[in-house]
Amino acid sequence: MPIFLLLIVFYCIPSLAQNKSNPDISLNTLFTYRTSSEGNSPDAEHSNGFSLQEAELRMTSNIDTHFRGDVILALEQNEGALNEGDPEYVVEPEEVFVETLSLPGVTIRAGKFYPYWGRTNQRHTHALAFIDPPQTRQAIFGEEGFNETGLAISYLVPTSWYFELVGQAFSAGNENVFGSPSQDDVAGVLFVKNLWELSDSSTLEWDLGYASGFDVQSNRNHVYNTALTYKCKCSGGLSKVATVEYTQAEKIYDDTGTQLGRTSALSAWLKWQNSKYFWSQVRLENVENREDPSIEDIRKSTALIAYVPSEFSALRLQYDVIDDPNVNPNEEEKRLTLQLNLTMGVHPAHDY
Amino acid sequence: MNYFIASIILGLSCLAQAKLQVVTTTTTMKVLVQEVGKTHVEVYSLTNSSQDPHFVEPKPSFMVKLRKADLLVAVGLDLEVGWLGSVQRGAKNPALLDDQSGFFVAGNFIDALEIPQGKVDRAQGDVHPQGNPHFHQDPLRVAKVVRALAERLSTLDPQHREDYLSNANAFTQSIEKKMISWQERIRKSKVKKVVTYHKSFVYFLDRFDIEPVATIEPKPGIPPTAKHIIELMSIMKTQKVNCILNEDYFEITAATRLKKTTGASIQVLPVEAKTNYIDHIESLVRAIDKCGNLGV
Repeated sequence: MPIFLLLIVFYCIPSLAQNKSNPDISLNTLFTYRTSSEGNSPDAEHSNGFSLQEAELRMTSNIDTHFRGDVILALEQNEGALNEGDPEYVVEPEEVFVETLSLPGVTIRAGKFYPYWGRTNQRHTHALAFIDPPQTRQAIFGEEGFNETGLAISYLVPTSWYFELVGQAFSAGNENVFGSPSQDDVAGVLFVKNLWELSDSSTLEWDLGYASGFDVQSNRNHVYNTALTYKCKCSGGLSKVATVEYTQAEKIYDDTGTQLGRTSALSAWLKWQNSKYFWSQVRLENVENREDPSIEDIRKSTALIAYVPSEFSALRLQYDVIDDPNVNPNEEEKRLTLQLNLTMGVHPAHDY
Repeated sequence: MNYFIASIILGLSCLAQAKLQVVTTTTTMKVLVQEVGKTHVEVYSLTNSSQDPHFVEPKPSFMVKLRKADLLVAVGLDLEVGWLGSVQRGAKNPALLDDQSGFFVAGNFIDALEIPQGKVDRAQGDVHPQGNPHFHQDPLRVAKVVRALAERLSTLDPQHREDYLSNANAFTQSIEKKMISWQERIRKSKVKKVVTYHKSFVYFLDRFDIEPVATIEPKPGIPPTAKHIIELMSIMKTQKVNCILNEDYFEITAATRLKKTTGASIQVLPVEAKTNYIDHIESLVRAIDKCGNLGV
């Protein structure tokens, strides 16, 4: 039923969208085929075989001279389906926000959205470098990433390089890190993005983030993030991208402020464009959990090749080797995923 | 006290002489703004002349350039549709947003060619629903843009209105003068038909009465296939086309294959003006001249 609803909305509105006052509408769809050495065991994170990984409907438009609105509805597999009759797919508001247009120097964003944070947090699934998000996002904030309701104020500092400061406040509901039951508990997030143009064809980006909020026991937690990205349009206009990202979550449980737990994740990945249509990518990741001594470190290695015939379609094949002794103490999981990534309609440009 | 007054006067005189900060999306637009603004403007182009302006990554460093700009000059007709909007918003400079006086869209001041009829979709390639955006290859359309640009600069900087209008007038007169010799040279070259890689020279060819028989791309933005090249060979032989215009930012392999089979001349041409607009058109006319001299 949710699929039909999404399709009706997508197919009925384009005629209206020709009008300048109607929103730009796009639909991203991700189809996957997956096979894993874990098979379809009850402990498996996902099942093998063909699936509709996600469909994302986006409507974006200037509301008036002061505001711009963005609505992203995601049709996803219902991970919580336990009983017969539970829907296989659910539609969720992934992001619904407005932001200011008319304030010089600053932009204020309010609503439900992915906070300005890290290298990939604001990227939707179809725009991620790999089929799945990096562990710096997934291991710290969970499968859905860092997505909250609140507001953000971003300021472009008048410097010769790109220097953006973002202050954010959320009713933090992320259960992995925050999840305070009190509506009065607000999480604060600071984000700094620097980008230097090294030459006409290369840039260096350095991101820094700090978040602080209350967990389910109303104790304050802290999360830190830093990421460094080098991008180059090298010989023949072919791209190379190297990124290293580190995220650390510190959990404080007792009244004396003693730090009792810490989870950290390190992800490093390389993307290089072999020719106009082909990309090769590798990613190495490590997750350390010091919250519970019985939890062992997780290591993940990923290789991906992508065929990208246009900005609107891509076929990607990803191979993962996951060493997670907590799930499978005896052997590494080997996973192969093929993804068809399609974009229809008018979709805004992705972040650089 | 005297120092205080002197420093205020100095500060005010500096403000009065501050140049208009203009950012353009292409180097051709930069060259045109420089022609009109001369010493009253400082111009920066977001792309360089060897870049394909259809596909530009919206780098945050572009936003730094736009943050303090007084005017943003774009080509329009959806040429920059894939990247400019996010740069405009990211710059947090409301004066440069759509429909504001700080945003000048050159394409709004010309009659576009190749406006598609009926339904447009991506199966047709990179088709621009508002028409072909490469109008800067037509000197007379550019003259119209330059006049509109002078008006816009005058709105933003009324103090130098006379200079802007006079510079625009001088520029359009020099174009009109050159047009006579350009038309004569092209007529003498006897080149009547050409093949181009992309539809980048449609306006130039239309102005000088040369027929663009086909493109090396089977569809706009789609690289050539072997089948399409074979079809092109046949078209070129049948229609006696001996001139291939290959834009400098597209690969030349397919054109070379066509040359081997048909004996046509390949002219690798800049799409964007680098430092001088008249020199740019001169290079296009010279290319047609060369094709003619090679026995067309």
